[in-house]
Amino acid sequence: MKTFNIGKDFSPDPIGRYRTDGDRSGETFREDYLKPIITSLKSDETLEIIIDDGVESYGSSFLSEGFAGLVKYGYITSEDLLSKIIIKYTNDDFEFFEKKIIAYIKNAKFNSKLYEPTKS
Amino acid sequence: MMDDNTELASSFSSKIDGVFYFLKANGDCQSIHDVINENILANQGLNHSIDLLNSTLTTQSDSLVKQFLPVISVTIGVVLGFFSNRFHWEYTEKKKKESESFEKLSNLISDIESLSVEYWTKDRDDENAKNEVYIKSKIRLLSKYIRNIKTKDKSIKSELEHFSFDIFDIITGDDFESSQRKASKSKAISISRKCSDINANLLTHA
Repeated sequence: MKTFNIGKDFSPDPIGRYRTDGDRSGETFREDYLKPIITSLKSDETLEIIIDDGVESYGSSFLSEGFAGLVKYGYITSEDLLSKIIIKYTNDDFEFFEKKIIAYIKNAKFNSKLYEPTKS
Repeated sequence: MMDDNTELASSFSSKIDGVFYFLKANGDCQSIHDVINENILANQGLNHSIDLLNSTLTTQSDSLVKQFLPVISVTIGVVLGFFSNRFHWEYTEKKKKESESFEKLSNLISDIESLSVEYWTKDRDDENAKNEVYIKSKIRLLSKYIRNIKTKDKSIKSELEHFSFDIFDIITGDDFESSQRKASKSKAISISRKCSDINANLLTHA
C-alpha cells in the first residue's frame, strides 16, 4: 500500500481548478501527483490518501478536477479508481470531503472529455 | 379453633380415663393418671395462650399498616414527583438545545449566503482571496453543525445534509478560486434561493 498526504506531499493550501489558477490547483494535483501514483500501483495495491493533515478545507473545483478528472479524461474507470484509493482522515469534519470525493468519482463519465492542458 | 382444641383434649382425656379405670381395677396406677391429667390441663391452657397471641398479632399487624399508610403514600408521591420533574426538565433542556442549534445553523447559513452572493456578483478582485477563505471555513463549519445536530426528526437532518452537499457544489464549484472568474448572477440567485428555503424550514423547527 502506498500513502499520499495532500497537505505534506502536495500543498497545505490546495486551491482552484486549472493550472492557470496556480500550481496548487486540481489539474496540477491530478496530472503531476495523483495520476503517476495511480498508474504505478500494482494490480492488488491500494493508495491511501490523507486529506486532513495540514489542510484546512477544500473547494469543489479542486476536488472534482483533481479526482473525478481521472475518470472524465479516461485514465481510469470510476470502479477501478474507487477500488484503488482509500481516503483517510482523523478529523471528523473531513468526512464531508470524503463523501464529496466519492460522489464526484461515481458521477464522472468515463472518457467523456479530451484532456487539453490549460498551461504548457 | 379454640372449641375444636377443647373438644379434642376432652375426648383424649375421656379415653385416658377409660384406660385408667380399667387399670384402677388392678391397683396402683392413680399417680400416673394424675400426671397425665395435669398435662392435659396444661395443654389446654397453652392452646388458650396461642389463640390469644394469634388474635393479638393480627390486630396489631392491621393497625401497623394503618399507621404507616400515609407515610408510604407520601413517599411514593415524592418519588414519582421527583422522576416526573426530572423527565420534564430533561425534555425541556433537550428541546432548548435543539432549538439553539437550529438557530445557530440558520445564522451560519445566512452568513454563507451573504458572503457567497457578494463573491459571485462581482468579477475576481483583490478581495477574493479573503472571501474564499471565509466561504471555505464556514462551509466546513456548516458540515460540522449539521453532523452535531441531535434531533428525532431524521427528515430535517437529511434535508440539511443534502443542502450542504448542493450548496458546496454551487458556491465552490466552476471557477471558484480561479484567476479568470467572472461574476455569475444566476449562481448568486441560486445560492440565495437555496439558503432562504432551508432557513425557512429551519425556522419551523427552531
